[in-house]
Amino acid sequence: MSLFSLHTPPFTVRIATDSPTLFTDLSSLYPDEVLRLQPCPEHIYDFHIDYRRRFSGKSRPYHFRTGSEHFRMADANQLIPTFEWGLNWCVSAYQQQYLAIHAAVLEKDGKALIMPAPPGSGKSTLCALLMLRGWRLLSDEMCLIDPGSGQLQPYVRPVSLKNASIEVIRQYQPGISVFHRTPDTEKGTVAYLRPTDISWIQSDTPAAPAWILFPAYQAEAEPVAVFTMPKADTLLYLAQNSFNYAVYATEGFRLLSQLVDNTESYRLEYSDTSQMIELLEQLLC
Amino acid sequence: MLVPLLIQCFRDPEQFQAKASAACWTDLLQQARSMGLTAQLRALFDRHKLLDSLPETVQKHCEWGWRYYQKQQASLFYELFELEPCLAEADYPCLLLKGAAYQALGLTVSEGRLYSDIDLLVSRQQLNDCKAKLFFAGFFEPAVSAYDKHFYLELSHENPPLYHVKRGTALDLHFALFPLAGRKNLITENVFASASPIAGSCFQVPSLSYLYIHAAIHFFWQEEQHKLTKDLIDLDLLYSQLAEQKLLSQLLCDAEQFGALEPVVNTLLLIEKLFERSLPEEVARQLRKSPLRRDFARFILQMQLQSGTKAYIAGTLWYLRGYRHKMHWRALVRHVWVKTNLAWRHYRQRPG
Repeated sequence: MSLFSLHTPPFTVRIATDSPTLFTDLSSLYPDEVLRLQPCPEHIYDFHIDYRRRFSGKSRPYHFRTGSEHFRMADANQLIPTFEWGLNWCVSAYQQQYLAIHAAVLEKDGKALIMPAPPGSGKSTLCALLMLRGWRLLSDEMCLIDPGSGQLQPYVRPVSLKNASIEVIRQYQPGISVFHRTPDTEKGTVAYLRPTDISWIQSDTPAAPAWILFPAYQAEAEPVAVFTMPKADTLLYLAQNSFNYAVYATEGFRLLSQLVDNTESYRLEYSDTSQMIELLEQLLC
Repeated sequence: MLVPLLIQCFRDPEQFQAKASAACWTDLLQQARSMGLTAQLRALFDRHKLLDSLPETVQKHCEWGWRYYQKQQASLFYELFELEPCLAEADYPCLLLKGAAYQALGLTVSEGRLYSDIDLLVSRQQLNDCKAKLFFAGFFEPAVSAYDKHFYLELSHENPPLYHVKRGTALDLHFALFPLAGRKNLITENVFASASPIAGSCFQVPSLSYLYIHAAIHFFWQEEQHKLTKDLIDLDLLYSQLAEQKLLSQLLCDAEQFGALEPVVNTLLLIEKLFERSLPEEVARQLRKSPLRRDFARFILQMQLQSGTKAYIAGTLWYLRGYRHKMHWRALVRHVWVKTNLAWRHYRQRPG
C-alpha cells in the first residue's frame, strides 16, 4: 500500500493505493512539486482518495472512493482516466468555496477566457490549442469563481483530449507528447496533455474574466462564424452548467450577473480549426 | 475500545483540537463529509468558540459544509411554508418529526444538520384525509405493488413516500413511530398528547423527550449500520438539551408510559460511555438497576464503530437483531415468503 499526495491549488489530495504503477503514471502528468511521493505530515488535505482493489486477484478492478462514497471501478489499463474523472467528481460534488461552472478557462495578458460547452463541442481541443499558442491554462474542466473578488481561481490539471482531438493536436504540433492514450473508455479514446510551464508556475494566480465563448464544432458549417450572445442567454447557460449554483442561491445569481455584465459573450461555430484560432485571437487580443 | 474520531470530537472539541495532528484532521474532515456532518462540526466549534482558532483548512471545510446547510435549511423552511395553507385546513394535529421538528424548535441538534425528507405524523384515522389534502397540494404517491402497499399500511408505520410533482420534495407521512410488525404496542396517542403548537404555524411538534424517544427507537431497534455515528451524535445533542432542562427523569417516565424504555435506557448508557457524559445520580441509579439493559446489543453496536472482521461480524449480528425488533417472527416469515414468491413469479414472467 502506498500513500502519496497531489498539491494542485486550491485543493490538495492524499491518495492511498495498492497500484504499483499509479504514482509513476501520474508523474508524467504532474511536476515533482505538485505530485509528492510522501504526504506532508504537517498538511491537512482536502480529500483522501482510496484507490485500491477491494478483493484479491490481479484481474480485479480498482475502486475509486472518497470516504464511504464510491465513484466507480477501473480496470488496471484505465487507472489514469478514472483517477482524473474521480478527482473532478470530488471537487465538483463537495467544494463550496467557489461558484463552479463546467468550463475551460485560459488567460492571456491578464484577461481570462471562459469556454463553457457540452461534450463534443470542441472545448478541450480549443483549450489545448490556445494553451500551445501561449495562453495560460487555468483549467480545462472547471471555472472557479471566487465569491469575494469575482476573480477566477486556477485549478491546473492535465488537459483531457478525446477521440479525434488527439490527432488534431498531434497534427498541429508534431512531436508533442500526448500521455496515457487509453482506448475503449466510456468516453472513447482519451489521452492527456501536460499543462505548459507557465500554467504550473502561475497555478495559484487568479485572473480577471474578460470573455465567455461558446464553441461549437460543426463539420458541415462555414469554416468559422462568430455571433454575439445575449447576456440573459449566457447567464442561463452558465447557471445550468454550474455544479453548485443552487447552493449559492441568491449569491450565485449575483455572481453570474456580475460575471456576464463584465464580460463579452460570443458563440463560435467552426469547421476549420486553424481559421477559427486565427479569427479568435484577432477578436480577443 | 477505539472511539471514532467524530465521537471524540463531539465529546470534547477543546481536547480534540489540542491533540489533533494534521493527519487526524484530514481523517476527521473525510469522515464528516461522508456522513454529511461537516456543517454540524462547524456548529459544534462555533458553540465552543473554537472556530477562529482552527487550522485554516478545517475552517474552510466548515464553511463549505455550512454553505450547503444554509441552502438545505432555506429549502426546508420554504417547503414548510408551502405545506402550511394545505394542512392549515386539517382539524386534527399534524406533527413534525425528526429533522423538521428539530429545525422548527431551533434545537442545538438542528444546527448544521442536513435532511433528506420531511417527516409528518398524523393519527391513523386521519391518514386518508391528510393524504387527500396533500394530493390537492401537488403531492403524489408513486405506484407500488398491492403487497408493498399492504406492507406500508399494515406492517410499517408510514404511508409510502409522497413526492411533490414540481418541487420533488419527499414527504414521509407517519401514523406511528415504529413499524406495527414489530408488535411493540407503543402508545402513539401519548406523542400527540405531549405535542405543542409552533407559534404562527399549523404544525405541532412532540415534546423534547418524545423527540429523543423517537430517535432512540430508530437507533436501537433497527438493523441499519451506515449511520450509527451520526445517529449517536444526534442522540448526544438531544440528551445534552434534555439534561440542561433537567428533563431526564421526565424522559424515562415518558419512555416507560410510551412502551419504549429499552431503547432509551440503552442509548443513555451508550452516551454515558462513548461521550463520557455524567448522568445525574438519580438517572444513573435507575439505569444501573434497570432490567432493560442490553449489554450484548450495546457491545455489538460499539464493535461496529471499529473496522475489520470483528466489525463485520458485529454488523451481521446487528442486522439480524434489528429485523427481529422491526418485525415479529411471524410477520417476518410471511413477508419473506410473499417476497420470494413475487420475485419467483417476476422471474418466470420475464420476456424471452
